[in-house]
Amino acid sequence: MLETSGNPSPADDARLSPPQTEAGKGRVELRGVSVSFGEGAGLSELSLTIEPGEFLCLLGPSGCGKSTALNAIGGFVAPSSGEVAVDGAPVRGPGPDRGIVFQHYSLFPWKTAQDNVAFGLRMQGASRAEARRAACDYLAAVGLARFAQDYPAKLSGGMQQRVAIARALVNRPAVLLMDEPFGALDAQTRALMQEHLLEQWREVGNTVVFVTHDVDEALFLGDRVIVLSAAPGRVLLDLRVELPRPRPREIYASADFNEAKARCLELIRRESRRAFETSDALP
Amino acid sequence: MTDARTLSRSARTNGGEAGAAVSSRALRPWRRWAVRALSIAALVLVWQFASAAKLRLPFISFVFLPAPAEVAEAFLELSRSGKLMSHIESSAARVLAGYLLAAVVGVALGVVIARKRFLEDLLLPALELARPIPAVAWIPLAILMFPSSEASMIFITFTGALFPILLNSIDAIREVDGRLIASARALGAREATIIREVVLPGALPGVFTGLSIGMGTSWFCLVTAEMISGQLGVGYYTWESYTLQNYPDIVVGMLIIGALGWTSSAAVRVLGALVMPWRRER
Repeated sequence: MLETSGNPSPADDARLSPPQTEAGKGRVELRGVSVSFGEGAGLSELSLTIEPGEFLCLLGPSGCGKSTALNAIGGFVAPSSGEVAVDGAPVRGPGPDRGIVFQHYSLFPWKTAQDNVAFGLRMQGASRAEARRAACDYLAAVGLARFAQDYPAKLSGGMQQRVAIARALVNRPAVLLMDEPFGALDAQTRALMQEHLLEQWREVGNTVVFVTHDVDEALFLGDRVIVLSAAPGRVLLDLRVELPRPRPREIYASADFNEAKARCLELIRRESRRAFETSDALP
Repeated sequence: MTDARTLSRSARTNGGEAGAAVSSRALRPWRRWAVRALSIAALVLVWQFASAAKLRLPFISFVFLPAPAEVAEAFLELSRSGKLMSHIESSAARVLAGYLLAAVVGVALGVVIARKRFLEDLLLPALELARPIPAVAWIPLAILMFPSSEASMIFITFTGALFPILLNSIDAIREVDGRLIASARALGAREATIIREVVLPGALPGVFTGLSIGMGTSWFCLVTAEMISGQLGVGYYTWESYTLQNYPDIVVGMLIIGALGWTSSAAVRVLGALVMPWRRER
C-alpha cells in the first residue's frame, strides 16, 4: 500500500523537502483547563506544557477526554475554565497554526488529493494555480505524485491518511494535532504510517499532539507520553520516552520499552476498571 | 490495497448486500433492463385483461376503463392533430419555471435554516404551516395574487417542488460531517468559504435527492395548476377530457404526465452524476 515510499517514481527524484516550521514555534500550554460536558468525556483542571517540536502522545482509557484535550488545543471546544495558549497567544478558535488529522474520512471527498492539499494554501491567500502547483510538488515529495488527480474514495485508507497529513502540514502549522489517525488502518499499514509520520515530523520540525489508545504506538512515536485518568481527565503519568531516534522496530523487544509499556498499561487498566465500576448507571 | 479499499467501501455502503448488487449489475446489465421492460409490459397486460374482461369486483370496477388500444388510438389522434407538442411545451415550460424557482429558493432557504438557529426559528414554522396545504387549495389565492394565469400556474408547480427540495436540503446540510468543517476551519477557511467549498458540496447528494423528488412532485401538481389554463398544457388536456367525459383522452394525459415526470427525474439524476464526479468512482 505504501509501496511508493520504497521505490521512488521519477517525480520523487527531485525530492523537495516539505515546508519547515519556524524554529522555536509550537509551544502549547494548557493552564488548569476544565471542560464540562453533560455526561461525555470532560477535563478537570488539566495543566500541561508541550515544548516546541515535541512529539507528545496522549494515552488513556476510552472516554477519558484525550480527544477533548486535543479539541481544546485545536480551538473546537471552549474550556469552561482555564486557558489554552499556543506560543503565548490564547486559543480562541481553530486556526492555520494548528493542523488537524482525524481518524478517517476527513479529506474533502469532492476534491482530488491535489485540491485537498491545495485547500490550506488557498485559504492563506495563494491563487488556485499557485496552490495547485505547490500541492503537486508537495505530494511528489511525499511519494504521492501518482495519486494527485484521484478522489479520496479511490485511495486506500493509508493513502488517504497520508494525503490528510500532507494537507495539514502544507500550511506549516506550528502544531499538528492528530486524533487516532491510524486507528482505522490494518496493522501493517499502521506501522508504515507511523514511520512515514516520524519522517515528516523530523523534516518539518513541528510540535505533534497525538491521541491514541495504543500504548505501543505512543511509545514508538512519542518523546513524551501522557496518561490521562478516567473522565474527567487529569494527568496520571507524564513519561519522558528516552529511546534513541530514529527508532527501529526492534525497539519493541527492548527492556526499557517493555518496562514503560507495563507502567502505562497498568495505569490504563486501573483507570478503565475504575471507570467501568463507577459507571453502573450508564448504558 | 484491495483489503483496505474493500473495507472502507463496505463501511460506506452498509455492507455485503450493496456489494452483491453492484457485482450482479456489472455482470448482467441487460437482465435488469429486461426486468424493467417487463414491469411496464405487465402493467399494460393487466390493464388489457381487466378492461377486456370488464372485470367487476366488489371494491373496484373496470367496466368503464378504456382499453390500451383505445388509449393508443386517442394518443395517435392527439399527435396527428398537431397539438401534442404544444401541450407538452406549455407544460414543460411551466414545470421548469416553477421547478427552477423552487430549486433556488429551496436550497438557499435550506442553507440558512440549517446553519442559523435564529433563522430556523423565524422561517421554519411558517413554512411547515404552508407545507401540508395541497396544491388545489392554493388555486383561488394563486389567481388572486398573480397578475397572469401563467404566473399562477408557475406558482402552483413551485409549491409542489419547494418542500421536498427544502427539507432534503436542510437534512443534507445538517448531516455534513463535522470533521470536514473542522478540518476546513483548521486550514484557515472562513464561514463563506466553508459554505461554498465544504457545506454545499457535502450536502449535494442529499440536495439532489430533494431535486429528484421535487421534479416528480412538480409534475404531480401540473393538472391542478393547469385547471386555471384556458387552452394549452397536458394537465389542461387531462382536466378538459374529464369535464367532457372523454375517458381514453384522460388516460393519454395521465400517461404523458407520467412519462414526462419520469424522464425529467432521470435527467436530474444524470445531472447529479455529472456534477458529483467524485461519487462515480466509488
